[in-house]
Amino acid sequence: MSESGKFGSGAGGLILLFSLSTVCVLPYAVLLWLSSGSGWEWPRLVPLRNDGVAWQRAFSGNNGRAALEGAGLSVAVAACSTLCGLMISRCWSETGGDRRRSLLYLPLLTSPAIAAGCLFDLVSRLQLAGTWWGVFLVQCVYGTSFAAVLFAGVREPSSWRRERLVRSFGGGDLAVWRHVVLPDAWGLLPLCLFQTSLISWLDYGLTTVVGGGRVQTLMMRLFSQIREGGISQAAVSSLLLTVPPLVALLLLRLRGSGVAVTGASPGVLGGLRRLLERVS
Amino acid sequence: MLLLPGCDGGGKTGQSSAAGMVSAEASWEQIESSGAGSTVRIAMWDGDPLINQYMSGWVASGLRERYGVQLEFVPLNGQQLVNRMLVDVEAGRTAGELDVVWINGETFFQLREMQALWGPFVERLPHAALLNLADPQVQLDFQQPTGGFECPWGTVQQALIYHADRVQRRPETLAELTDWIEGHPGRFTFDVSFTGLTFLKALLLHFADQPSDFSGPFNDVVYRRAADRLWAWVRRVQPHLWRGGRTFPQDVAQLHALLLSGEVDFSMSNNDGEVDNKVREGILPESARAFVPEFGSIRNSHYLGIPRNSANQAAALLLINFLISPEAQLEKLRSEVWGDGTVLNVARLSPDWQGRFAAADQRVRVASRAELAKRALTEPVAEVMLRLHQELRSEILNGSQPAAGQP
Amino acid sequence: MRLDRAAGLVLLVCLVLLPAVWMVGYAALYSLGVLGLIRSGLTAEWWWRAGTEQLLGPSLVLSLTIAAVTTSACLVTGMLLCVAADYWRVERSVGLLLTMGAALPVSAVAFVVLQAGSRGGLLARCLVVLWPGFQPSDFPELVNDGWGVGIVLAGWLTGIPLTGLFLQGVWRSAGTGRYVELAERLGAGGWRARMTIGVPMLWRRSRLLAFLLFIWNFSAWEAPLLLGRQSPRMMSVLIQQSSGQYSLRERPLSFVYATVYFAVLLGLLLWLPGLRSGERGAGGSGAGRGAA
Repeated sequence: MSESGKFGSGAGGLILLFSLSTVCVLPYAVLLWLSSGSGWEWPRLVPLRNDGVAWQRAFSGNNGRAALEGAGLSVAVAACSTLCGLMISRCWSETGGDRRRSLLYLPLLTSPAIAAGCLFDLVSRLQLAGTWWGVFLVQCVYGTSFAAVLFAGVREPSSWRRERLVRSFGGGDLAVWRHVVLPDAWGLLPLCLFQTSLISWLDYGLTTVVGGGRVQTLMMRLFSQIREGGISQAAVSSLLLTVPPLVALLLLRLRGSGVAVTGASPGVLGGLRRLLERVS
Repeated sequence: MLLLPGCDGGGKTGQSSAAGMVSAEASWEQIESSGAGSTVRIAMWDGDPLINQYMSGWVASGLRERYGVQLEFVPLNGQQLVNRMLVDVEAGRTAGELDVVWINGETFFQLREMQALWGPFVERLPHAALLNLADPQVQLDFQQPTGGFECPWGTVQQALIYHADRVQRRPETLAELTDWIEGHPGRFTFDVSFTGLTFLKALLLHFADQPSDFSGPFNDVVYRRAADRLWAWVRRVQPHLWRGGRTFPQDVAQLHALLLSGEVDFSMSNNDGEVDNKVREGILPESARAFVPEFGSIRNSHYLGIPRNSANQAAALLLINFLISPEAQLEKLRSEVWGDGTVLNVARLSPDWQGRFAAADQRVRVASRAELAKRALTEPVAEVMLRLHQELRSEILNGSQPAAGQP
Repeated sequence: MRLDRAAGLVLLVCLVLLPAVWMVGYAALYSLGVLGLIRSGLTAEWWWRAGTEQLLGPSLVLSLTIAAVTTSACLVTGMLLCVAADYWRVERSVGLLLTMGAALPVSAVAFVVLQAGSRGGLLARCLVVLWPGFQPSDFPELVNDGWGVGIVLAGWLTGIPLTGLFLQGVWRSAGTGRYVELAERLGAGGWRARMTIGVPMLWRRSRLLAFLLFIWNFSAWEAPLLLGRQSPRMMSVLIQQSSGQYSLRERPLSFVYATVYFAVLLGLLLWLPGLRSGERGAGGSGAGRGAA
């Protein structure tokens, strides 16, 4: 670690931390404040009815169901995408040159709202429109693309050599996975599972179009509450949305795995740091 | 045009023995037993928390108790619904995920064009006998005969909402409104969704040569003359609108938020009865009041239809019949629940029911329905709405010129 | 071919290639009138209409501009954060704060920006406490404005944690601290050493990040939906909302916009290999096994 030793470094550091807090922590405070009640008539800074009704309703009925449905979808998408991504990464090298491989980023980088509009016809023809499976399938497209790019980076020349070695000793596909593939990917598995689950947990564009309103997640509830003009309810939903990513991030930090992950819209921002390390 | 197999779209459905499907000869008892214990899915606009609560609470539990039918919601506005069903038709999807759709006007028009509705079914509903079909605003949907392909559900009239503390004298005529807008720059606007378009439609009727010009089929000459005057008026007041008319609220919820946050002094609503419950919910300020200006406002009904590819027509009929029952109509009439007008001919009900309806229709911040109805305008044909929407984009939104010195 | 390899190829085709090809192909064919319920056969009518309606051009320019501004702001802030955290030796605290910020989804951030930054929002109400006569019209237009300030703000607030964490990792794994230390021993000031040595090293290793961040901001939807205005709109919002117009006959127009969007995206993606090989030449991202 380099030395600074500058005069006033304590004050400077405090100013930096304070400034960063306004960016990273103040939004939480704002959401908590907005969730405290209703009747935000100008110029009130305190709601007219400071009753916390939004929190009372937070875990009941629609919100609770949406949270559970979203969580279930996230877990399923994470598991499936990670496995599929791992399998695809093994044949990554066979997809052709650099330019052709770059095209494989396309699902990952396309705006979900646009992708959903273009894919809805396909999903409809598969009789999956408006179903949980339809949303799961389309979210897996994103998750798998991410996972494939992430795991492709762990393939090294030594991986192939070890694979040949295992096979030369009579090992089949199972043995190769057990002794080569999974150990190589082990360090990235928690990250991949986490990021692909976030892709699903935080998705709105795909779920709203492909799910046709039948698949209700917490993100759907957030936008619904914004449309209703329910400021306090929307604030509560926003906070609830951040709970799983925040808990996971802090746990990972405490674990000291050194994996700092990000949670944001599906696509690039999720786990981009590790992703970029792997593909360069 | 691609047709769904087994349906002619224009007449009664043929025989079907699939569960939930209703044959032409089925009696109401057969429909009840066919639909009982199943799940029915309704596509509806979810922009009002009280409507959502009414449906997910009172209606869902009532439906479950009476018929054992489970109610599910699919949040879709009118155009999203049309697009969804269009894709269904394009993909040849015979079993859709929607059983009942909340529609009116241009949505009904487009769905009929696509032959995407099942029916006619209204006459099969036991409670249909109570409907006020003599009222042309119930019987006709944007001047189109419903033909039994959609069932009336409620009636509303658009009202302007203003902040009584900030607006000393509310504008009653269009001239007064124009003067007010020009004298209070940035304090008035309209949204670019259904509510705002309905407001523009009322102005369009005002700009017609004769009140009856927009009755009957679409007349391009009549429309053009009135529309030119309408857009000239909008362009005249546009620099004085909120944000200099360079942007508009996307929907009525955003407009209500602007009124609440003090950015504007007026909002509007397609439901004359909702100002009371919106104030109660904290979505509108305490000083909000609603009125209908002298130039009038659109009064219309909203409806329920059944998609042609519904997989559970029986449950759909049970739901719709329940929703037009006196109990359900009374419940939603209450301002603390929804404040939506009834489509029933209350005079045909028993004196006891009549008394209950009269007692439920209490309003604090807006005049009575009868009073507002004196200034009610009839909806023109759906084509008018489509043209208005198109021209709003081309004439105003995409042609928006910034005020000097502003991006 | 081995079973798992064959399965991988099948999955590659079904879950990645087929959807990618379908999206682009469907949009293109629909825009040309080949697909759709109310299709008129192969026609350039909708492309002509898109060209004359003057919506696509401004939308594309707005999207590219906002993406560029937001990405630049995120990178500059991230680099300054990295340098400053190292200078004042508060890396761990900065990392913790960035981690907290990283958990906020862009839609929640956009909602906060809307509630806090609108003319009748929380910031304006705070100013009323200081200046009792303050009115909403006195507050600057930060949301639903013509410059996309609100959209940039939401994107910047969402992007800072990502770039900050990434660049911190790069700083550590590239051993930037050693070079800075060396420069300081040779007499350079602490801040100057970091800016002249650290920042170029960070930039060389973050070009790929910048590129991908640019695409993400270009494709943004939630923030522009909440914070943008009707005209011009960002591409994602334009496409999504134009597909929901009142007239079904105009649906192909939204697919013209979508096809243009895909063309831009593909064009950018084809540039990606050049960036990747450039980063390999610079020693990779250098963050291979780096810890946050």
